[in-house]
Amino acid sequence: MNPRSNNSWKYILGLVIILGGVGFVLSSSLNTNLTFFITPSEYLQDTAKYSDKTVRLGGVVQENSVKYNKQTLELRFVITDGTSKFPVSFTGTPPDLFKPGRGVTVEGKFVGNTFQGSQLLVKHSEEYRAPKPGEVLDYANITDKIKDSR
Amino acid sequence: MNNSSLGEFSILIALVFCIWGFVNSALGGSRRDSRLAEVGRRAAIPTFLFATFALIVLEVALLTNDTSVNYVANHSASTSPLWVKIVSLWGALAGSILLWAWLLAGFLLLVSRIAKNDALRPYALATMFAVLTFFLGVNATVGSPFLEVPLPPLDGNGPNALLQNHWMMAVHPVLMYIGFVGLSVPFAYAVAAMLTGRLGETWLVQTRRWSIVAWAFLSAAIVAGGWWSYEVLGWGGYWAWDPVENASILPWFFTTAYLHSLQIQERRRILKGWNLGLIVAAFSSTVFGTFLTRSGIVQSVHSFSKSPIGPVFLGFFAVMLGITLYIAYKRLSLVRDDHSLDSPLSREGAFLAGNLLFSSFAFTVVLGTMFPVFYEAFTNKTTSVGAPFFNQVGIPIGLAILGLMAVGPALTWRRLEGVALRKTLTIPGIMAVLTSITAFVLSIRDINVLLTLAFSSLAIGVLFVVTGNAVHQRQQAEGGSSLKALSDLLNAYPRRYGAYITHLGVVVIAIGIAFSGAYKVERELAFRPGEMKTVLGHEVRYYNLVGEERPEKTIQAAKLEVDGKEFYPAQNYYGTQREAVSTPAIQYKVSGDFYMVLVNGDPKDQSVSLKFISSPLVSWIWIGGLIVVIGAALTLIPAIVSEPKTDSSNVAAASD
Repeated sequence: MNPRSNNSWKYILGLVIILGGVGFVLSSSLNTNLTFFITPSEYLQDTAKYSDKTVRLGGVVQENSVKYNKQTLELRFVITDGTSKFPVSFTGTPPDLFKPGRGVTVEGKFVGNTFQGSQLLVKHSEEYRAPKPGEVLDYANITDKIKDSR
Repeated sequence: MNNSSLGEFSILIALVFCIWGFVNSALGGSRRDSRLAEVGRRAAIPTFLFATFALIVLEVALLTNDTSVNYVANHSASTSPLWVKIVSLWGALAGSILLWAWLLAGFLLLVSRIAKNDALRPYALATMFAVLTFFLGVNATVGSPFLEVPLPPLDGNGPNALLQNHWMMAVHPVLMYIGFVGLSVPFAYAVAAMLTGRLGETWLVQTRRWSIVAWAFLSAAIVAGGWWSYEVLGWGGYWAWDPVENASILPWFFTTAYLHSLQIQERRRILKGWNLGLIVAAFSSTVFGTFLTRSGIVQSVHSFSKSPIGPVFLGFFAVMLGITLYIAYKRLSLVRDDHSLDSPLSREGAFLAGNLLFSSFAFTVVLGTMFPVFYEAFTNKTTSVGAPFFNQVGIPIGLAILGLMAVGPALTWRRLEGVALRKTLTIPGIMAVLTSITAFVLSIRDINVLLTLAFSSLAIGVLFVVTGNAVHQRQQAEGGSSLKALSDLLNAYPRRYGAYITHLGVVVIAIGIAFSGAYKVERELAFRPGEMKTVLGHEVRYYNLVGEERPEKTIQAAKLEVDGKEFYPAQNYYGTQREAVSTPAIQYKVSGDFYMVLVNGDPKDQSVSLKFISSPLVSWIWIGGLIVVIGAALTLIPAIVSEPKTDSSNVAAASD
């Protein structure tokens, strides 16, 4: 701990190289790998910030918007937060909990106006109940609940 | 007396004895009163007995399905198979803390029986009693598994589906807790060393074996956890940088660094401060990790529901760290080393660099895990830091550690003549270059994989050259065959050669991680009954869906024929839980696994969607884990042959 000899600069140099290297890699990769959770409206407000980045888009699966081809596993649906909406395209089998009217988080990127999803995350919530016909969904509440889906 | 009050009662009695033990040990130490210290030491016996009794009561309640006990009502079900009922003891929060407390009481009893009777012992026992008081206290209050349910339900809610889906769940948590608890022994002795001011090598030497045992259990637990994740979670991976995984790797980083740097203090009497810091960090990170994953502040596949236990652990973490830092501050003048490093190009220089790398890795993991929490606190924006961050930072650090591990055994203590180093490194260096070139010719282009291969062959080469040199020297000094010289060396230095074997295990793991990480391929396809497709080089035919009803679960499986053999990837539906837990089918091969997951099956038209993952060399990780543990066990064997007195300068080139 106490390099009191005359070659202590070597240790300081070594320390600076290791810690500096780690620090540099840390800050640069934290910058590029921080994934924001946003709603369709938040995307519209700040399109430039999120357009080329991987984000988690959260909202509700719009009723009657789900198209799924069982053979090619192509899934298309519209995600909405009540005010704004975007079409989502995804390849893969939707999880059991993926249903119209339910909250969903999609990780992916915007390609033009379509959100290209790479991962579908559905929160394991025990509180879900099917909405009654004509019932207005509480979008803010649903979005809030799915924020931390994994 | 019912199970509820019986359990609560025995925890309270254990708690009373534990506090009694703490007070007497602490007074016995500070007043140098051996009678008081002895009273404290003996308190370990009733503490352990009553903790054991509480554990048995909970186990009996689980086995007899006594739903008047809240833990049973919430986390068990009468339909579960016997083994699931037994392991439900640690399947949820309160029970796992009881297991933790019980193991700690066991370790405390063991230390009180076999530790040397010296000035350190009363303080070390007092520290362990204090930690145990916290755990028993949690079990007696906010984390009680024994609360009485006023109107017992007919049956319990059943255990978490993910936890009953694989037998590994019976093993992995116990290994992990033994590792965590084992770290309390060196931690307690470090505190005792600081309190008594006896900061020499004594405490390190006395707890070296305890530390290695704890480290071996931690390593086994981490590999077992990875294997569980691989077998159960259905994504073909084994490490997702999930907060609970991060929490388990932190103490491992610190303990690994500690096991290396303690040798510097043993040999050269320097780095006292580092060693104290590392072991305190290792033990407190187990508590911090428990807080992190049990408080609901970060999201995790493992996180139990939110409970007051999280904040309580945070409080304990803060108090423990505060007290330890205060003691360390008081003893700062004694921590000062007698002299300094001679040369950075030495064994101790390499260990020091390794310490820095391990600590940086630990810092990275904490930062990545906690960053979203702080970010949200300041900006009110929800973010997540995923695997890409950890991989981007972790891979370079991991490679640097691997490289350091490769050259480490070639370096000598104090300082090295450049000529000697060149002599040792020439052949391994050529091997490393040749391996990389061969891999490149075989069209491996991933830089991380190439570097892993280069460092791996360098590491293996150095170990062989260094061992070969030692055999040669011994043969010249003592005569006899080289085989006899080798076996003499193994008997004389089990610690050194055990460590070499552990290093080989790490190399095997590194190769497994590099290949399975870089060359994992995934396909998701839909199949109609009878359809046959070629997937990632395998002939896959799907027949139909088959089902089975068991008391605790409903199984739906797809019957597949892959390369002429039948496989049944399945989905399990457990009792009340609506979501399926998939059980992948895996074709294991040393060269790589073929992993099949049933993602969805439609019982009406029998069509299915299946996910296939080809993961090369993934099983090397489990094999390497086994080698690591075997090597660690070998280091514990006492040396049989007395070390040769003559010619010690030659042997020093490759000593422990």
